[in-house]
Formats: sequence, structure tokens, C-alpha cells
Amino acid sequence: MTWKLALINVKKRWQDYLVLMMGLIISVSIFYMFQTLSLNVKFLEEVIPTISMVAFIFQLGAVLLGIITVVYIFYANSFLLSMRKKEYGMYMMLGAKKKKIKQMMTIETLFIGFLSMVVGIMLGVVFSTIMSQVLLNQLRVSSNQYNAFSFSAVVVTFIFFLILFVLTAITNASKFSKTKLLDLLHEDQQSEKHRPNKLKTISLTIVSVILIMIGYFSLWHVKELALAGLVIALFTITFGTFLFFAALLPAVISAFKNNEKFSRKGIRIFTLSQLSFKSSSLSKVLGMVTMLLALSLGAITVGDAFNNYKEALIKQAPYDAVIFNPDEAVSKEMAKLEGKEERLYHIKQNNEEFYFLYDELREQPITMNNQTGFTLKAKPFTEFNEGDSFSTNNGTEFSIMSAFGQIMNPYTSYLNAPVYHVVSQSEFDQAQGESGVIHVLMVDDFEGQLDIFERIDTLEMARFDLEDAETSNSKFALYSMISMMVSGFMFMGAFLGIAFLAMLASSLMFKILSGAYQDIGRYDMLRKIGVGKKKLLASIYKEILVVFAVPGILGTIHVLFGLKMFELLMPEPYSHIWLPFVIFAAIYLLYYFITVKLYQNIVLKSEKNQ
Amino acid sequence: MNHSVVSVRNLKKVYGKKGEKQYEALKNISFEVEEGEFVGIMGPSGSGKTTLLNMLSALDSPTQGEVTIAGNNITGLNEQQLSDFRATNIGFIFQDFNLLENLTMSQNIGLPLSLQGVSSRKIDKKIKTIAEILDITQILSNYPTEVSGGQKQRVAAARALVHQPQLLLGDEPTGALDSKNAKNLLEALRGLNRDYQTTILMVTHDPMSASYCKRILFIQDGMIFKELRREGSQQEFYQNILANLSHVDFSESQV
Repeated sequence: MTWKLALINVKKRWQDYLVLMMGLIISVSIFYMFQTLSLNVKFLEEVIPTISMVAFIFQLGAVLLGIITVVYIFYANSFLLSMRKKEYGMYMMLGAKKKKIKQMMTIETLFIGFLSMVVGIMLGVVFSTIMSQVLLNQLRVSSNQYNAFSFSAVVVTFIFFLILFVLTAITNASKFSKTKLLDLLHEDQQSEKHRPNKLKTISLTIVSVILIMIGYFSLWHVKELALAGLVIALFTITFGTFLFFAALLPAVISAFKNNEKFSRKGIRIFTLSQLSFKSSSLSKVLGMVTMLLALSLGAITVGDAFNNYKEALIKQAPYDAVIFNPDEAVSKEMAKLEGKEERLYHIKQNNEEFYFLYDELREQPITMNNQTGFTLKAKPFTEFNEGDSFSTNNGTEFSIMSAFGQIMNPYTSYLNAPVYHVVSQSEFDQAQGESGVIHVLMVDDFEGQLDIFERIDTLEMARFDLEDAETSNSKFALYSMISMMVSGFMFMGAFLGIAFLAMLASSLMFKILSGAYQDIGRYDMLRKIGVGKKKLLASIYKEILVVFAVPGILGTIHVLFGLKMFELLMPEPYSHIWLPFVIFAAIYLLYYFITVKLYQNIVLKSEKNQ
Repeated sequence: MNHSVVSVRNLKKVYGKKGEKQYEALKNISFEVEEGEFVGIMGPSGSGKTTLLNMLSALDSPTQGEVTIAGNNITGLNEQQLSDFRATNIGFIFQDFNLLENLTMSQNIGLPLSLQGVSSRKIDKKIKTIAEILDITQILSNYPTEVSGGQKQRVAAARALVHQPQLLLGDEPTGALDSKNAKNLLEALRGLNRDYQTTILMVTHDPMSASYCKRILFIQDGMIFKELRREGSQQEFYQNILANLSHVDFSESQV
């Protein structure tokens, strides 16, 4: 009977449970993904060469996910408990013993937990498979090191969540023991205190601001503080954010509310009243949303920053292929390239002395990269005269040396002290050394014709007896190396970003949906005293906008400071933040509208039924 | 002669779509409420009281017939017009108060005025006036959780009256109150009706509450079954109501 009653409850309130379970399922599947990823070490090593730093950041992410999942589960369960109190009270009125009800609660919690775990792990396997396939395709590597289904990951996930659910069940049961029957029955009539303790609010606000400041400071000085700075920032910012929403936000809203000049404009006082209600009941969720938003936006931004870094690195090589005296096989492949421009340079080589024809270099100047910091500016090299010689020994600029270096055969060994002579035809003819022709190819679409470049690379490596791809200087070799590294980071960024965005979505949806039912009466009252639907809608839009915007803004500021730590990894983490920020804002905005719609359906739909 | 504030003619309300199972909640109801009247509507559960109240407050539209309030025929108005109409002409008292818990009493009372765009200074003045009439001045800065049910309902009444509506509608206003608090509220309503000629129409179950009215309409099965006017003392009226109620019950049991 206990079982039956417990499960009937779940069935009856399946909508509420579904929302709760969606959060749990996503949390389980993400946790599982983290586990499979960290347990597939070989795969990581293969895909991401610079593993140590990445692994550390990844661990931080896992810790954060853990903290957030704990908060989420406790929060969601305590909400369910409060939702059910009246029902439990009724059972007790009918003679059920507290022990029986505790049993029912435990069955329910564990049932929900078990179901979420099973579905979550299955979803996790699917996610991991898809993600790894996408990644491998992007990298053009085939790896069989990655197993989407990992038994140890299942075990770790299972144990972690089992502990969590058992803890929740115990907490709920003990909370329940402390509640009197009468309070259970009148759960609806209890409402929160509306006279906050001023001293407490002020001190919490100060603590929250100080914590966030410390966090920002240690992120800003992450170069000096190193990993300690990251750990400090992780904890101070997390707790600071939660305190911000527990103290500062409600205080600000109630200040607005009590400023009658401001609040007595149309429906504004109601909107503020709703907000002050929400800000106190939502404080934990808003804190969580802020952190998730920061993580998710941060992850996506960093992933994208790496991608842009890749573009910059690839631009360093102005020519798509440089081929020295192509043989028949290579020529064939070269002929297949589309949209190409081919330049020929005659060259004579005598050890490390190279002779170029003045007329040829005038006619088709070689490209020079002017480097300031990490930004490159390509321009044609024209400042030379007939008879000039360029070498590091006679003080030639590095950029000029590397401009010549770019048209050297990429499949030969490294040149120690090359000397480049620009000479007339007659001097060229007289010069000692082996003569040859350099074919320089530039195509419109490099990434679209990777197959051909790969074949050329393989042929050339064979022709010049190169065993290891790393000793080649060709653009294709550079491209493969960079894209390996960058894709690894992007994979991680997108992975974390999606994970956190999903948790953010589910916790907000959960909160908005569950809170909406309590708001029906208020909207109904307003409608009866003559507030038109348009005004009510406007109020809903504003109210939810604040609920979205405040964590959005705070989270964005977190990210702006958080990006500082990636200066350890890449030159300019801030240079390309606009695109991911705009994309994220668009998704967030879309999510805002969906939430408004959902909320509106609950709050305003009920009116039609009356 | 008094002009009528509420005029209901041949009102009919049918629930359910055509061709499906239909339910006639109101069958051809007509009555008038004149300015300064205090009218009660009584009837057993399912008699159509709530439906009638929804029509009067323009929350629901009738299937047939007309409702005129303060000279405005509200049957032909669109949604926006209806909202504005409610905001200016009707005050509402609910059974469960429906105060916003995180607003102070004065903020709750001022809500309808804010909606109409009244200036903050005028709002303060009007809140003060209505609070004095209903004797709630000392709790104006409290929150709803801090006061008794009776006080809450007085605040709700103040909110319903602060914008000086043509008609005060009560939906079982004493339903959630104990008898002492209920009496208190009813005295206050009677005072408003007597001293300020506020037109009041309330739906109630309770004969005690009904005995404060000047006139009572009994509704049964969607029709006005009987009309009762108070002629003698409140005590006599109360007895009269009880007698009529038992008659209603009796005839019901015979059906």
C-alpha cells in the first residue's frame, strides 16, 4: 500500500516530477559525460596534446558541476516536499503514522532518483557517442580509443548520485519529522517573512561584495597567483554570487518597491511585488543560474577564442603549398587543385646560399608578414635592389628572413644561417649551385581541398625521405597540428557550454513553472479589479526579464574576469568575444521568450476556465 | 427617485458548445439594483450565484440578455474596454482576501489607484480617507501576514472602495472569517452603505451575513426564486431568511 500510494503520487503530479527529472537526467548525463571523458585518458592524450593544463581546468569544471548538482537536487527535493506537505498532512489526518509517510517519501525520492539515473546514463552514452563522432570527423582522425560506454564511468556516476539521493531522502525525512501536523495542513497559508533583518542584509551584502571582489582580484592577477588564484576565485565567486542573490538583490528590489514615487505607476507596484517575492524565493536558483551562465558562456567563448587563434596561426603561412621541382605524381595532384594561383621562382642553391632572380621577385613579390604581438599583417616585400643579400648576419629583419623562408622547400631540414641573394639573370647564370624551380601555390579554398593537399604532403614526404610529419614545414602539416589542438579545446568548450546551458535551462524552467501555480491567484485578482490582459502581459515580460537579466549581467561580468585566466593559454582571450557573446545572448533571449510563454500559459490560461 | 446602478435583463448563460452536452447555468434572470442599495444574493451551491457575479463584473459574457451597470451596457464591450470599465466602476471583495503578501496594507489599497495613473500625493490622501472610514489606519504599514483575517478583509474592502466605484461586489466576503470578524466587516459595509450611499451587492451563503442587506434575491437552478425585502428589525429579517432558506431546502429535496 505504501508503495502504491507513493507511486500514485508520482503519477498524479507527473508534470512537476517531469520538470524535476529533466534537471536530474541532464545532470546525470553530463556527469556521466565528464566521467567518460576523464576516464578515456588515452583518447584525451591523442586529441589534446597539451593535456596537463586542460585536465586541470576540466577538473575544476567537474568540481563545479558537483557543487551545483548538490544544490540543485537539495533545492528541487525540498520544493517537492513543500508541495506535498498538505497531502501528507491529509494522510496523517486519516491515521497514517509518520514512519509510514517517511517510508513513502523515501520510496518516492529513490524511485525518481533511480529513474533519472537510468535515463540519464543512457542519454549520457548517446551524448558522448555523438560528441566524439563530431569531434573525430572534425579532426579527420580515426580513433578507437574512445568508448562512449565505460563501465567505470557508470559505476562512478551511479555511486555519486546514489549517495546524493540517499542524503536527500534522509534530509527530507528529518525535515518532515520536525514539522507539526497542523503546519503540514496549513502549508499554503504560511508565507515568508517580509520584514528582513536589516543588519543581516547589510552584513551579507558586504560579505558578498567582498567575496566577489576577492575573486575578481585573484582572476585579474592570475599570472602571479597561478593555480591558487583560480581555486580562490572559484570558491569566492561562487559563494559571493549566492550571497548577492540572498541579500543584495531582495534589498534593492524592496527599496524600489517602497519608493512610492517610483512604484506607484500603473502596474509597477505589482511587478515589483512579484519580483520581491521571486527574488527571495529564487535567490538560490538565481545564484546557480549566474554561475552556470558564467561557466557556459565562458566555455563557449574560450572554445571560440581558440578557433580564432587557429585562423591567426594558419594565416602565418601565406602559401598553401610550396613545391620544389615537382615530379610527375605531384604535378598531377597539383593540376587537380581548383581556383589556384601558381608562381614560379627560379632558384640556385649552394649549401645555405640561395640565388633569386631580381626580375622574378619584382614581378611577383614574396609575401612578408609584419608581426606586432599576435596580429599579422601581410604585405608584399618590395624594398630590395639588384645585388642585395639578406641574412641574419648582415642584420636583415626577421620578417624578411621568414618571407624568404616561406618559399623554401618545406620538406628539407632546418636551415641554420641561410643567405638570400637577389641577382640579375647574368649573375644568376654564373652562380655556383644546384638550380631548380619553386612552385608556390595559393588556392581560394584551402580547407575545401584538404584531400589533395594531404596527398601532395604524403608524396612529398616520401620523395624527400621524411619519416615524421612533424619535421615538415608545409602548410598542411601546420594545419593538422593546429586543428588537433584547437578542436580539442573547442570540443571541451562546447561540451562544457552545452552542459551548463542545459542545467541552467532546466533549473530556470523548473523554478518558473513551479512558481507560476502560486501566482495564478494574484493574476486572477488583478484581472478582477480591472487590469487588462496587455498590462498583465507587460508585467510578466518585465518581471521575468529582471529574473533573466540580473544573473545574465552578473554572469557576463564573471566571464569577463574569468577570461583573464586564459591568458595563460593563449595570446588574447578578449579579442574575439563578440561572436560567442552575441550567439549566447541570442539563445538566452530566445530562452527568455519561451519562459515568458510558458509562464503566461499557466498564469493567464486559467482565467479562461473560470 | 434613485436611478438604477445595476440593471439585468433576460440574462441567460449556457455552458458547453452546441451539439455537446449543454448546461444552463442562468435561465432568464432580470432584476435591478438602485443606487444606495445593499443587496444580497443567496442560493444553494450550483444555483448560479457565481455565474451571475461573473456576468455582473464583466468577467464572463452572457449567452443572451443584457447587463447595464451605471448606465453602461457592458455586454457589447471588448476586452480592453471591459478591463477599464472594471477598473473604474467596480470594486471587488474576495472570499480569501487576495491581498499581495509582500506589499504593505497601504500599498495594497493604493493598487487600483496606481493602475488608473493617479498621482502619488492623491493616492496617499485617498488611502488615508478610506482607512479612517474602515478603521485600519494603525495597520497601514503592516504586511498581510502580520494581521488578523478580519483586518485583512477590511483592507481588501478598502482596496475595493478606494477608487470610489459605482458598485461594490462581494463574493462571500465573510466566508473566511469567524463570526466576530464577520460581524465587524458587515457593520463596516453597512456603515458605508448608510453614510456614503455605496451600492453593495454581495453573494453569500450565510443567513447572518445576509441579514445585513436591505434586500435579498434567492436564486435556485439559475432562476430568481424569491425576493425578500427587509421591513422590520434585523432580527425579524434574519428569521425570515431562515424560513425561506428552509423552504428552498425543502422544495429541493422534493425534486
